[in-house]
Amino acid sequence: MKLKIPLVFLLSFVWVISSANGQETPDFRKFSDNGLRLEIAPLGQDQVQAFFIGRDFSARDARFIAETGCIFRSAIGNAGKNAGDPKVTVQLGKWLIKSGGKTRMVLTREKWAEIWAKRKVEESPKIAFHWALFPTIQNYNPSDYNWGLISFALPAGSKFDLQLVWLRDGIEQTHTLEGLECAK
Amino acid sequence: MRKMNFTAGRLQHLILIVAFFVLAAFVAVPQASNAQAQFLHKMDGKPLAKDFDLPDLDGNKIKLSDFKGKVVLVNFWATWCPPCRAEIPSMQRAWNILKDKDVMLLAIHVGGNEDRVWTFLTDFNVDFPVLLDANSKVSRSWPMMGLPVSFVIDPDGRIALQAIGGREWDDEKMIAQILALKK
Repeated sequence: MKLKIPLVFLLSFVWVISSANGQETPDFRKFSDNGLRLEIAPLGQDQVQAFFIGRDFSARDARFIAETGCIFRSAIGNAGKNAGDPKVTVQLGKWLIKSGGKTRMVLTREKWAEIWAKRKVEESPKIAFHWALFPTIQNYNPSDYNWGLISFALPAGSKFDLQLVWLRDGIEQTHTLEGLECAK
Repeated sequence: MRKMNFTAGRLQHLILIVAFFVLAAFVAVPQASNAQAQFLHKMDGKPLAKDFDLPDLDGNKIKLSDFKGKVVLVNFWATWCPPCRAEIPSMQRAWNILKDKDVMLLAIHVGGNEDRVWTFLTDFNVDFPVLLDANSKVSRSWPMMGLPVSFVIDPDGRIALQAIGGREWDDEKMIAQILALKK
């Protein structure tokens, strides 16, 4: 049987092995205040394609995600360390992306589901995509967190400011991360 | 246990899996989780746990209701989810403690590809039951939004405790929280 491993996957594999030692890339951001803790960093296009090809996406659809998604990896949760600390609610739908004088929203799971329906993507990759993306809304008790990818839907290399919005004990909090950049 | 047949197709599959895990490790972020306190949270309202009927890796059908009267730890995870992978070793250590105390552990893999799951688990010497929610219907019907997430079901079949995100499952306080649910 002939091996048919996608070239992009192998290239990414080699590249990732050579670069996987340091998780904290120059674009890595860490924030913790008012109950929220967040770690975020852009993923390169090769990494994004490899990840989604590995989850049964076609090379065409994986490339589409990589080229249009502006995908960041993230871990976000409640900074509280004691059981009595306030609950935190993270609402991606309220986050604002400010780039080039325009303001736009995060491309959530629900918006991507509409895209996959139009592109007639199979069920298996759709399931993987849903669970790989960061939840659109989630309540976090102290010490809780989620891992997930976030799509800012900007062209590769775009720079932007990101206004985070969350609730701490039901009271809205905001903070802006400035100068984030989609991977090239 | 089934034997791996290293045909070219299997080799391709293996390379993809290895590459995938390396990628997933790179994609991983939740460093802060390691420094977090370890505890489970009481589930608001203690809702009844929705029953499921899912195959394990040998194809046997397992129902949650088969364990009514017991405390059951239900963990939802996926091979490609970094914090899910990180908690697997401590979950096995917790299982070594809990199985002798009549507590059940069911780990539900979200999404398909049985071979990928089986290959992954052999690296960790896991012997607790792993079920496959290939079409994600069970995962979508439970009160969960992301991975990993875990629920502890009390002997009455109610969700008593939950943990959103990974944990060190053999932590003494968490084991005590689970055992305290026993009647």
